[in-house]
Amino acid sequence: MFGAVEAGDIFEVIGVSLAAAVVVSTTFSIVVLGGARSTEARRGGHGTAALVWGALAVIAFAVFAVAVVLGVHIMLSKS
Amino acid sequence: MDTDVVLWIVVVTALAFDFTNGFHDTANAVATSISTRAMAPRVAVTIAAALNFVGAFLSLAVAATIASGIVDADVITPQIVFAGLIGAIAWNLATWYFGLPSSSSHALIGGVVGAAFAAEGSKAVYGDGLLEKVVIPALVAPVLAMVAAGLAILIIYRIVGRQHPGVVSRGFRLGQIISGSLFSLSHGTNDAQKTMGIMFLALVANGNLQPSDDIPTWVIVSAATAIALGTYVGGWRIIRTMGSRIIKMDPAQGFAAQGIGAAVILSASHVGFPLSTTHVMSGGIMGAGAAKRFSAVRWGVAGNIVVAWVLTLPAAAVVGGATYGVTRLFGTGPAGPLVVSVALLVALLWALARIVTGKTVPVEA
Repeated sequence: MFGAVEAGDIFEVIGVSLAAAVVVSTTFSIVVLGGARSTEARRGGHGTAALVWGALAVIAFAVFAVAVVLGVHIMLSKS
Repeated sequence: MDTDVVLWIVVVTALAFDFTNGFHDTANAVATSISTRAMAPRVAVTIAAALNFVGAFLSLAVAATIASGIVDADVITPQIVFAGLIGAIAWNLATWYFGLPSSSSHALIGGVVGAAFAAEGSKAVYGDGLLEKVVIPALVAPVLAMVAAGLAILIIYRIVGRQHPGVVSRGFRLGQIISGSLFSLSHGTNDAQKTMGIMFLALVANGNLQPSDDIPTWVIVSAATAIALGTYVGGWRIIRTMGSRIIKMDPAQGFAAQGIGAAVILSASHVGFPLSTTHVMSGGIMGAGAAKRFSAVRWGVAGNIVVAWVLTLPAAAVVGGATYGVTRLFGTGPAGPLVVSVALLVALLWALARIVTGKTVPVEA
């Protein structure tokens, strides 16, 4: 398509980047949402809801952290 | 003896370029964090400098030269490398003065291409390489980052839009510390390598090292130190442009631009498609602004930035070619590079004096 550059590489970059954008923004937004809702629920005396929202925030943060670790791994494995 | 003098001039010039590279690109990592008050300015540049320093040690497996595949390696001489570095430094300083973010890599490629062209003519420059390493990435990077950051900000607003703004801002400010740090680390692993590669090439060309040798520790330490110092000093004019002149951003937009910028660069790195951090970050900021409200982006400022991107390669090439021509007036010895270095230092001191005494027009906020 572009001679020196494989079109497949460009489409792969576009696909992976957009997927990363969705994953990063979704997971970190859920961290913020879960944290906020958990705090609200705790103040309102709703212990179970606070726990559920808190757990959701922790899980989302874990997924976000995996994405960060994957990023560092890519940096270190450049050839 | 003469060749040693030229070698050390090239090494010092390469470190000067490395300094301007860090100085010029600080904005990519810290502008959004400073603008949204995720971090105090001095803290932000200190963290960015430290992570650039660390990043320079993490990955040494980068290609020997950034211009590989773009110019004929057989024609490269220390004088061509010197002239290319001067072209890149001149462009970095000019764009810093006008507060315009532009790619240091493209400036370096432009400088070397111009010098090689001046030395050996068009046969020394590979058009396919330019297309592959400069033109296509320059077209893909900002558009992709803009779309990805726009998508991210729409998702973010959809998920947290009904929450208390204070809580949301605090959350995304914390996220920016992580995304900014990732960006700085990535920058250190990428950009310090360019200088190491150039110093290594000069040492090989001078017969001090063999191509199969490891990069000497002093080369790694000096390149890491130069880029970290440049980052710490900070190109505040460009930080101001990226942080507040393109859009007035909230922490969620800052996170989207920075986090998605890092994701785009690392995704591209993963599939071996090199993108400019400056192009990605600028595109991400525009995308995060436009997705909220199209008119939120100052398109005039964005247009100036795009013009700078288009001019980067030809302008650096012209300076690189002209510098090579001037150095050759003095023969192939160290006199030419010495004269150019002294002239550049005098010009820099003059410009610095004008800036310090306030005789220049500041970049408007």
